[in-house]
Amino acid sequence: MNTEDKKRLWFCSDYGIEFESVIKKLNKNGEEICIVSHDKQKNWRDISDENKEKARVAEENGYEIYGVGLNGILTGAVVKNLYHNTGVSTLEQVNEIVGDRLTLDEQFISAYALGGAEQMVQLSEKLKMNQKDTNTVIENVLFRNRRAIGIPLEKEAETLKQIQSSGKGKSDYEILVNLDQSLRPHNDEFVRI
Amino acid sequence: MLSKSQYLYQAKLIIDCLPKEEYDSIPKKTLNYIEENMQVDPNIKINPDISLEEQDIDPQTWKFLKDVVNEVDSNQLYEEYKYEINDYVKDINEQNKGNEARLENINLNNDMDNLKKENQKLPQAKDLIVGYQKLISQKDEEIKKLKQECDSLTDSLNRIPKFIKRLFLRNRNLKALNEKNN
Repeated sequence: MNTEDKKRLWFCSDYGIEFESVIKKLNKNGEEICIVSHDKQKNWRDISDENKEKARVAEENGYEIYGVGLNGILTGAVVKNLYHNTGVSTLEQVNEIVGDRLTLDEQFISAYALGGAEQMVQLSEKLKMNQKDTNTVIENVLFRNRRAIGIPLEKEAETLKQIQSSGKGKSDYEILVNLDQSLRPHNDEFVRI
Repeated sequence: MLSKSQYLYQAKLIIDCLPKEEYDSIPKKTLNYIEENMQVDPNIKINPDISLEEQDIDPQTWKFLKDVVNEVDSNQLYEEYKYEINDYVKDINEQNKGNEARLENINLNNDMDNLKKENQKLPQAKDLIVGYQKLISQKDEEIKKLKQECDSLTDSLNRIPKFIKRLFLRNRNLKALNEKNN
């Protein structure tokens, strides 16, 4: 899948920790990126005319056009949308295309993108990590994901307090998983504009 | 369906066809386990020139090989990252401390705001309590004073000449008062 010899133009959503990591990786590797907003530009037909034109011109100049967090097709250009498939996260696919190595943090982000906290636990078992360290990493990834989605810290603090006072979670791990579950239904309310 | 010793033998035949590098990545304990538990069966054969999908492979052999692949993957992953794990966890721990402190600060600020609001109510409540205590303490004195006023009024009424009193007593309220006093 590595297309190192080709020029690439990426259209990437910045919603959530996985896409945020994708952008970081693309920047690190000197790739050309256009960031699209999750709330208004989930489909190629919804991206700005300027970006559509940019994609068409790039294709004419021999670029591969990739969409991350985008659906549909773009009239007048061939685009490749990357999705999670058969156990491979979008981040892993991007990694392979640009020919990079996944960092340990990216391994955990990929696991989270594929199967949430449960998948991160499986990864930590492969890495022979103890329970305490595993919980620490999961807590961190969940926290950063909420930041990347755009959940205000105030809302998170309020929900955390409610969980602690209701006695829903005993251990730190239970509390943080409860927090994630409590905030998840409201994720779209906090989409950054 | 093959027996355990048979499917382990079938797995062994497949593993023996792997390139050296892949064969070497299989843990020694797994290879030993196969050797110790398999049983050679001349009826089980593997043709290295034909893909496995086209051969009669037992489902248990597939499952066993899948477990071996997962084990190899896990080992490779561990070998690749084992020297980074400690630093990574240390870094994450530091980040989490900062995150927790931020959340605690927000909750503390909220608590402070709530306390400030509650504190604003305190002077009003204090005034009410002081007023109430004052009223309670003055209660007996007020009753005594009212009784004295009532007695004084009765005396005054009694001192009024009878003919004038009669005039007043036509008034029903005064009559009632008079009867009550008597």
